[in-house]
Amino acid sequence: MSLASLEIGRKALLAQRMGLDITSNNIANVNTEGYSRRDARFAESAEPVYQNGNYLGTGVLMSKLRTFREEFFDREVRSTLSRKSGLNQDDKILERIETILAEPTAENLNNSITDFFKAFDELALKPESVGLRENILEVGNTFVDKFNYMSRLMTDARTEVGNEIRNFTEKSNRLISEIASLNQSFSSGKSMAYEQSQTMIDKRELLLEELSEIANVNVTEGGDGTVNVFINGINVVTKHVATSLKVQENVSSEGELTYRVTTVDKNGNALNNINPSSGRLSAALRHFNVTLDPKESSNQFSAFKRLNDYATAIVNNVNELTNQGYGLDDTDPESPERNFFEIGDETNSSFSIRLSPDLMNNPRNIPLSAAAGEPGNADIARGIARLADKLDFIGDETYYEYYAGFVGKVGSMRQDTFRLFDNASVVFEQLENQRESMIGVNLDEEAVNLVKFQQAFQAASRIVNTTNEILTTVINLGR
Amino acid sequence: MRVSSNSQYVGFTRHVNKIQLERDKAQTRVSTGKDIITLSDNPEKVVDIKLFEKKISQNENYINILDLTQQELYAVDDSLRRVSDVVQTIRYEAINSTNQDTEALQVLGEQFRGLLDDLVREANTDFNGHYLFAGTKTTPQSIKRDFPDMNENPFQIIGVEPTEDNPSGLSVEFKGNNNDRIINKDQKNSQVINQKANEIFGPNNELFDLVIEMHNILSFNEDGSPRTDSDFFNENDMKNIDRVQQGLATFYDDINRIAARNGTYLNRVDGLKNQLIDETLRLKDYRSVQEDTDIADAVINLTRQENALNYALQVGARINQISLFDFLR
Repeated sequence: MSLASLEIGRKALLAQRMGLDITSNNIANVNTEGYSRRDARFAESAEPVYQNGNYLGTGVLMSKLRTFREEFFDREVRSTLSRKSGLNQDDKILERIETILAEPTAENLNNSITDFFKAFDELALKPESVGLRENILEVGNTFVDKFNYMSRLMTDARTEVGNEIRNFTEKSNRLISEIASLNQSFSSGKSMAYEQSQTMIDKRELLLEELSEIANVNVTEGGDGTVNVFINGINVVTKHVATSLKVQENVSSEGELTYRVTTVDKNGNALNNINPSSGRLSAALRHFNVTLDPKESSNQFSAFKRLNDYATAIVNNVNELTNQGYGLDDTDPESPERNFFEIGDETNSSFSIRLSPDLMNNPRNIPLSAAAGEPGNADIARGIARLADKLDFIGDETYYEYYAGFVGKVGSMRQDTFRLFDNASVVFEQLENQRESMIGVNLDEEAVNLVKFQQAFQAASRIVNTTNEILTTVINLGR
Repeated sequence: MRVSSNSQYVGFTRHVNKIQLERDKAQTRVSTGKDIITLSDNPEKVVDIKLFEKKISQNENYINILDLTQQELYAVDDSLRRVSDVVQTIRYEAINSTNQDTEALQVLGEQFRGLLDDLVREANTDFNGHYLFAGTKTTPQSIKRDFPDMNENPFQIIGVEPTEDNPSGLSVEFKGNNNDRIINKDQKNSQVINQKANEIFGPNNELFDLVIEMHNILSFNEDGSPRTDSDFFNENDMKNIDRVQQGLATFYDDINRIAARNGTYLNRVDGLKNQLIDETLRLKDYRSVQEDTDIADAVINLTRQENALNYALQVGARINQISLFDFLR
């Protein structure tokens, strides 16, 4: 009997110490990202012994290391995280475009254009004034500079988004490779300790969530502990095999540069297009290929193209009038057909717009008169001033309606994105809270467990002590 | 539901961030006085504000242009009055000449020559760098000079071959045109701002011709010989003086009529300017309603956000301090 108690005490000491270890590990990992708490489950030791007509127990064993991770929550968290991250990326890019537009400050582009048209009205009163002519060149230069500057900022923004696409792709490749590597550990290490496998499951989930931030992923269980990962139906991880992604540049016959991301084979040849429907990569691709594309050809809203179209419309409208006009010293009835603006690159007019050097060098040449040899005639100047209210300045809109629509669209896009991001954040937080309520560590709970296992350990050690005393007594009986 | 230790911190951080963001926005509203800080705060309102801004900006420009136009119209008015005064003097002297001694006629003849100069000087008046009565040929460079001795003024006294009708050989050449000078006075309407030479001085400079004729009558006899102290007016001279005087009277009336028309331009410009000023004030009011923040409301909101932040921090600090470990000995 006494020997059995000693064995029971030993088992109890081991089991409670395991409980203490698990609790300590939970406490230690309270702030570890992706960690799921563990719980020791105990069971009565098998094979009870028959003694004096009774079956007596033989102690305790730690039967199971329980974890609380559930695939449902992991899947939902990944899906929402992907959506939330994509919207966050949208917001970041749209905020940048919003900053470029400098609205609603006084330094915006349209105030300069309005000043330009207004200056022509004033010039119509004194078209012979060289001082006012020089002023109009200054005013014109101001808004041309703004166009150039905004165009540069848009180009910078696009370049940066392009770099982000490359970074996301590289990061995806690293994550995909790590997931495949973990898969390999699962499939080859069947004798892996349960604790070790749980740690790896947590780590893999963390990697999958990191990947979900970049692109929405679907994950299927492989049965042997491995997972297969798909992005938009394209397999990127199959057991221990990782498929790399690569950014491919496409240049259309019109010179439109777009990016797409494809899977590639071992030789680097493109296989399938990855078109993630959410995530940072999806947002970055959309903005690179549409919103910030200066040559956007799919009739979707492109802020950069809008800016270019705007510059082109101003150039065309103003030049159409100045082509019919005469400068201060023009006496030949045949019009010298002078342009006020010039565009270097038709496909990026906002960047290449500039004032005609001929006029810059000689303001007397600015064609403001509709008749040769009549410097007091300001019909062309008045006509340019009237462009401010031209109903079909660009499409069927005035220049102001067009611009207001342009900035309004950018504002609405960001506002919508922000609202959607807010919603996605709330859903994500709720899901994360729900998951956290299951897998997260609660220090109070762990403190209780700590006390519980400590008490049990102390009690078990008393069993050993008591048994020892009994055995000593028995041994001393014969002396 | 179970609450993990981590979720307490995450939730606390998230909520504090949110309150801080709101407080920051409220603070910016109070410090800038603007309700809309970024475009995406309210794109519809920004679009409305932009349309108001454009209209306000245009109106302010037109008010400025109308101011400048008024100055020019005042200059035209002054000039027309001076022309009118010269014509009146000429007319008076023409009538007066019929009562003069023969010795005084030559002196009067010279006086008319001087009055012709005065009239031409007025006709060449310029304002702010452009001629007032030369149509659209407003600059010296645009004045066409047919002969080397011609000057760059729109009106010039030139010498022609003396004839029986014009023994002095004086003539006035007009080198400008009678085209309209037009400005945009608002978004839809334009306004002619110049008074034309053909209406003031006659389609063929008849006003100057009348002054020259008067000079000729006073300085020359009917046969073209210079008038001496003994040459008094004959019947034809008297008839011609009467005709010239009548012609001058007609021009005098016409010039006053043109000055009155210029006055109506001035009134119209002034009226429109006041209208635009009123409209601009109204538009600024509308814009302010859209754009400016209600300071009282913004301050209350800021106070609310600050209170929320204070309490969130206090409560958060207390929650995060307490754990079972604090009670275990």
